[in-house]
Amino acid sequence: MAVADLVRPSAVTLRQLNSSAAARRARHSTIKIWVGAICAGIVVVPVVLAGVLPLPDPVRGVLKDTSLPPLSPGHLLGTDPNGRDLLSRILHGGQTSLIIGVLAIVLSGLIGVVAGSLAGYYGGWVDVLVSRALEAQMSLPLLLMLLLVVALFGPSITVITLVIAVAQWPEPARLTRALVLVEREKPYVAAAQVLGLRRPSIILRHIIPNILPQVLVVVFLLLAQAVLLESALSFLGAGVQRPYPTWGGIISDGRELFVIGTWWLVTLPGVAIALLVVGVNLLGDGLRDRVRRVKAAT
Amino acid sequence: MSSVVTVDDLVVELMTAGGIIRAVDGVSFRIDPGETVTIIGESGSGKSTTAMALLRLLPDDLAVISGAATVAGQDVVGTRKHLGALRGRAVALIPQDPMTALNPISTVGAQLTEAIRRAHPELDKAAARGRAVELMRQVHIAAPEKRMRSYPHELSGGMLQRMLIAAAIGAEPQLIVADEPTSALDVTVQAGILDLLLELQERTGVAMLLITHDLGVARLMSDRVHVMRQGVFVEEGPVEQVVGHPQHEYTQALLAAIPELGPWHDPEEAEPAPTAPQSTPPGPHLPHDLTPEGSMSAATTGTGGELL
Amino acid sequence: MSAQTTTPLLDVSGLVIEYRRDGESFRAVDDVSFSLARGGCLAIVGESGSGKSTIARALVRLVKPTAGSMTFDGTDLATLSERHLRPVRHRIQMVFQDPYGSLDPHLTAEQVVVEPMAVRGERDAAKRRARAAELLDSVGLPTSALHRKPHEFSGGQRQRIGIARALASDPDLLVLDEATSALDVSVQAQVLAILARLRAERGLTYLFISHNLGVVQAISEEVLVLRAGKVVERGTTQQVLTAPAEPYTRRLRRSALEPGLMTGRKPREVVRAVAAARIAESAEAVTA
Repeated sequence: MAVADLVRPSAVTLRQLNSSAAARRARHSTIKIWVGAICAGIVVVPVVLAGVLPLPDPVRGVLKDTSLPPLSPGHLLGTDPNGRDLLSRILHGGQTSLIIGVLAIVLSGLIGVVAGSLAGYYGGWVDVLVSRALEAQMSLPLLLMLLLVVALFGPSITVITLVIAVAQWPEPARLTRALVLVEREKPYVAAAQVLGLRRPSIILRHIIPNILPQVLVVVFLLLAQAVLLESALSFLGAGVQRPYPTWGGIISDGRELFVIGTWWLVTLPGVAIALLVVGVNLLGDGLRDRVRRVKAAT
Repeated sequence: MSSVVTVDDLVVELMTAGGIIRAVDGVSFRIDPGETVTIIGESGSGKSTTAMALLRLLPDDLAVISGAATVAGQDVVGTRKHLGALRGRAVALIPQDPMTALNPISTVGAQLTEAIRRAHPELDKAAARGRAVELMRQVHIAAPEKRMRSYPHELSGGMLQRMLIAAAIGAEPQLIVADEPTSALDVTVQAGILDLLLELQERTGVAMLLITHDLGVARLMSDRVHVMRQGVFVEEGPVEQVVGHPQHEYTQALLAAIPELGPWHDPEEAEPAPTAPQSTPPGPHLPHDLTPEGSMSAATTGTGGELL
Repeated sequence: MSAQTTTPLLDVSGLVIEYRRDGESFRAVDDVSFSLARGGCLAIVGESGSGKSTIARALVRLVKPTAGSMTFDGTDLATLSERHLRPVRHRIQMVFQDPYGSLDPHLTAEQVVVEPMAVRGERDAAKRRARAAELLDSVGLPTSALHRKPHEFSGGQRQRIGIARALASDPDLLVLDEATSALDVSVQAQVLAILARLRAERGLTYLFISHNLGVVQAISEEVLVLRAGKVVERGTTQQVLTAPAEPYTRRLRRSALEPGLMTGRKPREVVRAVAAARIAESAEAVTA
């Protein structure tokens, strides 16, 4: 005896709706995505445009402009003892860091997804091999290993990128393997097997598309780590060599001058690194929440 | 005697990522002492949500409940105050999946004892344990002292459900809410659980709110049924009436959709079973001494006796 | 009647499927034999652990039998290598129990149904689309369904897409593994009707796995009762469900609850009367 024509007004108040779990989750992920994008954007956009912006030469300085503080005329962030504009050095140095970072995560993502999928789907000795390699990799002290490789093969962009990629592949690999293990048990995979699809086809066409969003978010989050690693290497002198600017290098060079008051050489590149890392992490976090919710809805 | 449950124009709205969903759109019913009232519906009808709302098991940041409802005389919609006194004491819940309702790292005996102590704080641990064993006997669990030390994963679904029923009756509740209590169980196990619930009702006169999608279960267990669809009751009444003479087209369609089995020859029965008037005409009546040809008589264990 | 016309499409003999776990072996299927004529329907009934789903999975070679033979149209599927199995696979297809997991979530309905054709080498996209539309139509879904993704469909509709997919490779035998068990009763009735119609229209053979006796009676002429991996009873549905010979089958039958049929149970009035009397007694005992 439903009285269908009397549409009852909702008893949900605006306050309840705004404080509901669903609304809060949506809000939090939106906030994270925006704040993260802005923080990262403040750093990334100028860095990407470094080539076209009217910046002084980052490598050749004007000696008479030595150690100028920030907000000096013509030098927004000041200069270093060699008279080189700090803003220019930060932006050009950022290009090196970002290139290395992006290349490294692309590489580690690829290796990780392939290794993780094979380990998760085939199981058996493939899984044993990949899992042990993964664990061995993760148990190595990261920075020391990087230093060793750079000492052996020289601090070029290629070597540094490769080394960071190799250091980072376990994380996407582990996640991929876990996700593949779950997807493998689902009936749609069995259906593909019943159709006669070969295993590589099943992995490529059915499993990976369904796990890719989650894995991509984790790979993105690795960018922060990659940039930090590159900066650490540069700081220790094992990164791309002078006079090319790198964030870690600028900080390292400015270390001793910090105590005599030339604070900007250490602080400002540090702020750039911090903004990028925090931005990437927040953005990645927010994206992960979104991806998870989309997956739950399907 | 006053009703155990009164529900008046209950509305439950869920605030989901996809918008506000009105899962329950104004239902009213009551349950008197000793009665079994069943809410029947298919998936998405709102039947489980109704029960969960009554027990206030829906989080406040998800569900907004309006209307009025009382359980054992206490208001459960307007305030959360009385819930502590009701849950596990005046009201007990038997959930759908017994495996996930129990803590996997604690023995069933420990969990049962804990439930008893919560309902009867005056009992010390030893007394509670003794009562636990006794309750397990009441639900026909063999070797209860031994079973106390088992972990949930070591027991079958039927056994676990009996444990949950033991926990439920241990509090001597006025109302048992059974949310699809046998849906996760094999059909032969289901029979045992339902018989147990009936037996317990006989013994204690507890009232029951049963949620199910299975009209056969409803027919067996209920006094009155409410047929629920998209948040509202479309038909209600005594079970024989609703099942025998459904008025609403939805109920009729529901009954028509159930594949009929019809009567059969059960040598353990005194006479062939009666059928309700609206069932399809039964197949040709087989003589009582028919021996099916070509059937494989593999070794089977005896009937009855073993508990599933 | 010549031998040719009565050769069964599927002849399973002495099927044994064992699993090994932690060094112990467990027989999920223990010496099961049955045969299925072309165009017929055999239901396998049992509870959890009976091995019925394992048999279904073995037939489509998701699981390899430990011993025994499964002769399908003259070829023993049990021992075929993967390479030799591939060309035959399309002739036996499966409909799965879970409508929510049996369709790849990132594919559209069209892509799901078209995949079997692509696997068999059909390259013409227009032909594939036309066939997909035809298949969806045969299960009662409109062409607008083609570009929608699984999460936009209800459980019953998803199951119908699964049936369309199974039919896309033109199989002889359909293995339906609890294909209606996860559906609401009204939806189940629709899907059963579709299955019955398709079988008649296309001359399909069905192996129907279920735990629900009512469904079995509605769709199948023959039934096999399985318990703990062994065959308990076999015969026509009429026979086995109306006059079961074995105690286990009787117990199954007895446990089947129907709204219209109340066997051996006390009417509710009796239950309540007894309860009322007991409560009255204990009330007296307290006050006495």
